[in-house]
Amino acid sequence: MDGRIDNIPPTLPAAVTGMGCMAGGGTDVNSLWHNLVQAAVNCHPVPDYLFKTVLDYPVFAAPADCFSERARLLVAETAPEFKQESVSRTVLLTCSAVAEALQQAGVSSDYLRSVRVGIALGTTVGCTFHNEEYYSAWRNGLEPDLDPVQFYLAGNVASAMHRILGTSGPSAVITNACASGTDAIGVARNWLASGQCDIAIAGGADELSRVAYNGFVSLMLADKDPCRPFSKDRKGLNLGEGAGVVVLERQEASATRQCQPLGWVRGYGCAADAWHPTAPHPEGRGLKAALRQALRDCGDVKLLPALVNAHGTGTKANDKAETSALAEIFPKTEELVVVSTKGITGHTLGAAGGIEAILTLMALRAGQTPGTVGCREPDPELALMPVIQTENRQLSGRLGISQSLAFGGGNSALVLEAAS
Amino acid sequence: MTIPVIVSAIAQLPRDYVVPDELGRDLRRADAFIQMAVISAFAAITGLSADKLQPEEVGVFIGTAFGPLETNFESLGSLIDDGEGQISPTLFSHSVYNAAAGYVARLLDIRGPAMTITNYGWPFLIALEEARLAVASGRIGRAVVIGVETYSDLLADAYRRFFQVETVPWERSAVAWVLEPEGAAKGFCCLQGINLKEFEVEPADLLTRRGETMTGCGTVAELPRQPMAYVAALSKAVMSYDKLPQRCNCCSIEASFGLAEINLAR
Amino acid sequence: MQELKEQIKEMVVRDLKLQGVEPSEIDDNAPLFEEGLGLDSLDAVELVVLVQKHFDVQIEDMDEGQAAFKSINTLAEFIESRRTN
Repeated sequence: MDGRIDNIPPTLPAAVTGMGCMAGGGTDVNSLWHNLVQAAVNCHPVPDYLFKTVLDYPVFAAPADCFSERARLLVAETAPEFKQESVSRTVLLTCSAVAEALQQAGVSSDYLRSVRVGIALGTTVGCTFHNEEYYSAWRNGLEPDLDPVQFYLAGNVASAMHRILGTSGPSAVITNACASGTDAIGVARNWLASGQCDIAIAGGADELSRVAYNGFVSLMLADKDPCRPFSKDRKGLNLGEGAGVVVLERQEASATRQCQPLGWVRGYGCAADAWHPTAPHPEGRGLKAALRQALRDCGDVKLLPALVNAHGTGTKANDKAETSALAEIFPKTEELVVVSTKGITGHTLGAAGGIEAILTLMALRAGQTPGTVGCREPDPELALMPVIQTENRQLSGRLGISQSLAFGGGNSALVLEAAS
Repeated sequence: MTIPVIVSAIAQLPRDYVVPDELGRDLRRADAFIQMAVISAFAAITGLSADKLQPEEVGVFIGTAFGPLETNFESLGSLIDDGEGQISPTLFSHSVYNAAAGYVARLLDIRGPAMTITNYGWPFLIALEEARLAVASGRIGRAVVIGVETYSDLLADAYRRFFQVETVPWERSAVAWVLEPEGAAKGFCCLQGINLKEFEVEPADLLTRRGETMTGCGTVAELPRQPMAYVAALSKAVMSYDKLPQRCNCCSIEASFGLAEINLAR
Repeated sequence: MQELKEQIKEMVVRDLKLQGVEPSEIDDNAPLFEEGLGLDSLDAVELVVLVQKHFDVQIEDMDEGQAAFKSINTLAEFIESRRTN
């Protein structure tokens, strides 16, 4: 089976030159990392500024004003006519994350306008029409003001970012549910490797939505308490919101700009369970395939990653399937360092892959990882032992994996390397 | 590594499609969006040889502008009518854009990448280019690429109000292409690459698509103002590729919202 | 109780969109999940919501749900016992 695929040379790595984030888990990358290290769990009832609800499942909400000062300054320069009220919360979250990442990469807006910029962003809620007032009024035969429809049509987050930055180049909004952010980074890296663009902004974003919130509650996947990934008696996930993006460049391009990479995207794999609309394959069949692809893609099928940032939502089904798959791909489980960071971010759907790629790189750069926040008593029935909350582990290398398992059965994995 | 990629099959599903009996049970919860994606995919791969390809070597790529919009609204309706905590989990889970790719993967046993991409302009072209890159790199041996739109009355009413018209020229449709490496199968032509450029427009222009025009091989045709018209036109051009003039190697599509160049070869 | 069972069967066929089976054809004792009607985990959470909507009975977690959903009989008994409380 693997004969043909094994002969493919690894794809060229992409340098990560900037990272940015605005989320319930942290209003920039440093505060996100700090919250992880401190196990600061910003998990509360849904704030009024988001939506009214009678349900008491807590969430990880970003601040009411999620449009950072950095974003304001960037957009004042690139799109002086821009009005905050004209774009969705998902776009505002994205702008904040992008502004931080571009600043870290040392990339000016003039430079961006002179090259081909690829923008690949994952989202789940950010592409939908979820204006309840408009829908209600329309259903009742009224003719409500058309602004919400214009708003919806202006809401493709990658197109919006190109518009706001004044850039041109490939543009894709990836809607692979929970794996979208991971896939967006893989897609952008492949664009760079095949010469579709010179620089890329990739990751994901999702605002909290009343519909999605209710949806996960009805699916009986949500916990009324802060989530406990990999734990015995875990009860489910908490939703979160945010945006996490990275700036990617071809190795030579970042060298030309005399920019030191923070790390590299070395491998990417994506595979479908082909199993069920909402439940993962019980043995993580698709995740295994995605991991094998990612390892082949990075050129080292025998790699034992120094760290695995798991999807680890805290649902019964996910954590079991995911750890089964990991134990099969990496049988020396006692050497495998597995964490979930959703205990401080919640499940941010389309943004998860972006935020978690950043957290993986931060840990690899630091040479150590905090334990899984929310996991104090791991489930003995899991196929491996994750790092629990009270532990901190030194990492034995600079290569790690960030993986995602999506609703609908998609699975994706990235092999990431931190610069020394 | 770049392997030349061919288009080996194209299937277009008409508006009044029928769910084949053998898929009835598996599609019982599926909405029209998912049904159309699945049935067009089945139609496209029928007749292609399946030997030598493992499920992990096949991928599915879906491009859509509006996704399962009607199901999205039914889901909203369920929330409004039934109150919180009682939204139908089936409706909600089927309102996420990638539900269709999940169904296609399961029913065709596709275990390679399953990718769903959305864009208001030419989502099928973005999906097609992602699929082409995946086959060209050797990562997969076959890609099923689907363009599907089912619209919704709410959006149609908005269209009527924006443009003061009585009729909305939309017809739901689905089209599935199959891409394979050259030599793996007989194909219509080679797909060499797609370049897309987006222009800033008034959001409502994305609905009307006025002026959307396809140029290629000596012909210029203004397309019917439908979000899937470009897919039908491109499919037609590719299916009749061997009848086109020898030098034909580029189709381009122009609209107020962008410019697309599709490079083809014999 | 018989009327309740009939209502449940109608609800199951209609709201779970079952194909090729009439409510009257469902055996009261037949397993609803795995074999029998072949319902799956998504149908299970849908049933929880349907039972709440149509019969005003809450199911707190899937352990409770699984026991109740074994067959039409067990579901009818479960609803009946919760309703009279």
